[in-house]
Amino acid sequence: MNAPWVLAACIVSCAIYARGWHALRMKSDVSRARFGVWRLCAFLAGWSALLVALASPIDAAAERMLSAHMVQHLVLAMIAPPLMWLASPAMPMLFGTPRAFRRSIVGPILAAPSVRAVLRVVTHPITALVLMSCATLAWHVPAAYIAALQDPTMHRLEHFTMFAAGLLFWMPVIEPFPYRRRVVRLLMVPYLVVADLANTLVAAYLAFAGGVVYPWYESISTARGLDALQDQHLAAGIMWIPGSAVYLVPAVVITASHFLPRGSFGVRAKPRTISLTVLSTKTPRETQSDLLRIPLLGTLLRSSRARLALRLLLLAVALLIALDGVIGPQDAPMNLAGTLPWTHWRGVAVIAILALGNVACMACPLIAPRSVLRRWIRPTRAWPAALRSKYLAVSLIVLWLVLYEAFDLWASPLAAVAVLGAFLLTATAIDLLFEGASFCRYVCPIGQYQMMLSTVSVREVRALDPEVCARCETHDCLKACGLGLFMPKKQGNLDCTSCLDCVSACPHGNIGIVTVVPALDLARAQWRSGLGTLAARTDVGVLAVVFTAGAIANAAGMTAPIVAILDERSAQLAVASWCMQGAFVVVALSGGIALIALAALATRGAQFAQRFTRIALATIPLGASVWLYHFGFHLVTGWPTAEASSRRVLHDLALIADEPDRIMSCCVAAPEWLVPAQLLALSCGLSASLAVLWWSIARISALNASVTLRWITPALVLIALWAAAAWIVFQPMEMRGTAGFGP
Amino acid sequence: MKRTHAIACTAMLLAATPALADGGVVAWTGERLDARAAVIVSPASMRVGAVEFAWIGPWRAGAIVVATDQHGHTVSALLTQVAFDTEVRATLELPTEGVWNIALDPDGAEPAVSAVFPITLGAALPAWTAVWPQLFAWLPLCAIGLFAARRVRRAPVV
Ligand code: SF4
Ligand code: SF4
Repeated sequence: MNAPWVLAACIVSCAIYARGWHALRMKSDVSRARFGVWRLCAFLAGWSALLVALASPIDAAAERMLSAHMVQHLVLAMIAPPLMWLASPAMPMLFGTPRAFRRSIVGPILAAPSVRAVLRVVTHPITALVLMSCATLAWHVPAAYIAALQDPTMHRLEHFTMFAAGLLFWMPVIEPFPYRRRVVRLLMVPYLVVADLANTLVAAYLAFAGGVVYPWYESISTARGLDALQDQHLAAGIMWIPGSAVYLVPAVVITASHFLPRGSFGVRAKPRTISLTVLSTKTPRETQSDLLRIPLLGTLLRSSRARLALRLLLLAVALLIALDGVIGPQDAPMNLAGTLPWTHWRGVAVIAILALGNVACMACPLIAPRSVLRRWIRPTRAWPAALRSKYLAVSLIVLWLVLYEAFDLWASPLAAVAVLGAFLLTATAIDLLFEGASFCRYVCPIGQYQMMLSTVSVREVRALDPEVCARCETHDCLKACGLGLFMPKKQGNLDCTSCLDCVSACPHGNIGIVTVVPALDLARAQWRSGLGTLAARTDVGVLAVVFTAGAIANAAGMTAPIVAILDERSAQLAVASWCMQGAFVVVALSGGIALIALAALATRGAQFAQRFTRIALATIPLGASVWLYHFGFHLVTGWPTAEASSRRVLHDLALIADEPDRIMSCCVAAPEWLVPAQLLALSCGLSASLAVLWWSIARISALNASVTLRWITPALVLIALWAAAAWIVFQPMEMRGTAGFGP
Repeated sequence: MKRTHAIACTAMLLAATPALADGGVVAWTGERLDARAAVIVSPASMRVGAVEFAWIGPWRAGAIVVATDQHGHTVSALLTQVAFDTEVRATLELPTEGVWNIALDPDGAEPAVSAVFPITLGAALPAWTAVWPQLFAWLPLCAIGLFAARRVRRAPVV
């Protein structure tokens, strides 16, 4: 159960460390000398130790053998922490974090006097020694020890406290850069000896106790070859000998280095505190994390031909899928049109958008015909002024959600083909009639959904250096952008299809796909090119509510209890079930709008419309997390449908002899990590929504007004939406229509 | 003819084929008394607990479904008619995760077993108490987010 989480944390933190370590080494020769290769190795070794303790057979053996459990504790408190500190992780982890995070989140937090005061206290050697000794002694009291063995939560707490206490304890011993020494170095000798005494006390108790100290191990009969008492003696030996060595060897080294002539142990860089300018200064464009600077990928993305080729390729794939939808069997899980667009494309797209920006619009095959045909047909008409808002797109999203729910579009390959055909024809017709990218900007419901998602993405298309734009005289980016976005005045991903036409047009190469703090743009909601002041756009607010309420309604419509209630109601009221399902969506969306309007009424600070829009925008991260967990669920449990439907096509074409196995057609059992991962995604969404909401309300409140008081009511509304979304996760996913079969 | 009809209708977005089953996965298909037949198992992503088996095709009274796990434990139930003449269903409470062999006999007392196939069950949905760290992770995350927002409001970072 722990293994996937520990592994995920390991991969993420090693990636961040390696990125920061590399950036620091590029900075100067001093940095390069300070962050040698051995530091990276120490970090990797620290994580390897943690993996051995928490994600290897030792973890399972710890439940059955005290000696294995002691090895685990030894690694957690005495091996992994000093290795981690040897890597001097503070600066590499800071530099490895995207600049936007450093400046907007990490910087302000680390600069806070209260945080610095707390850090000063907890990192003091006396505090660290007390915590380490308490962790060692308290967790080996039989009652606490057995409680941890019996309760997984207590067990996690035990490991966390041991590791955390280990980190605090070893910090003054290792003095990782830029730690500032708090006591005379020689005092580290008694410091280590006292900690060893606590360790020895426990070891001696286990060695000399007359019987088995922890009866749990006696009650477990295993084929381990050791009885409980022998196992206990082995555990005592492990704690006593290697455990004491870990404390005493550094004590000897520190003593020796004190009495030996200076320089015998190498010259140490003078420690200093972390410079906050590191966290906040503007960095030159070369140091920004820009996707367009990645070799090969950057070259391909910058090339308008390569981008068109990608869209044409995807259009060809879409047409092949459509062909199978028309001539293949109308059995959704066995037809390419019943699987790839609904299970795979949606799941991959939501993950890709959150990680890379609006890449789904960038690769959209629907605009490929426009790109080709506009070489001969140049539209001259402007999009009608009356339709220049998001309301048309909102209506189409509502229509889409109703049709999807009422007619189980995903269960019919022909319906998928009809939808694709309708989109393709409409997009082409509109874009050949009207100039710019009118279809993407005002009509496409999928595009609006993707743009909403991309507001919580960690990447954004933006100008790299505002000063270059200030000197620019051509403003080619504006001329190239079909959505009328002027790069230096562009904010966030809204209304940007990431088509990268501006990148090809900019004569100064001043545009990149850089990292940003997700959802920060929603909190600011300020003026931007194309949309004007975001907080004043009620149509965007309504779109945001439909996005979030639609996410919850769409996921709820798949769960067994909701399916049962709707079936029951439609039988009671004698209406067709598709009517009931469509009505459910309309009621859910209207309810969402009403709820946000009520929350806006209950707060103060600006006009009602602006309050509504700001609260609506704050719901987007929560909505995005619901789309992520919903489509992620289908992707994880439905991935074999790609194989089954592809094999069916190959079999129909007589390219393979074996008929595909129908049992593969949908779905595999959900892995154990899926529900916790879904809930974690939801937690991230809610916390981002709540923070955006607070920040958004702060922007319309006077400096002396209590933002938190104004925040509480809309925050409760968001928490209520979260509760509904969390409830869905605990329901069996009925997935109406996935059988897609009629006798 | 039927397909032409369907294409025309769906193209107009008026008659996108409604679901013919409530959900689940087609676990078996074949011919039964010269008619097409299938077994649909629901929910589609199966977990420990209630699993529904629907037989669509010709059947007789006494139709039965038997599930056997790898240790030989069996659970069975008679299939009963639901909405359509050609559909019978039964719900089994399957208590353990892993592979179960399903034998579904739509002819009741008749000797032939018509549909035999395996299914794989995932673990039961966890109780909220088992996943509370992930469920309530938003509390500390939100505290960090609000703290950062307050700091930026008071002393904006340059
Ligand atoms: S063309 Fe390039 S440099 Fe000029 S304003 Fe646009 S992004 Fe800036
Ligand atoms: S700003 Fe305009 S041209 Fe540039 S990527 Fe976005 S939509 Fe395309």
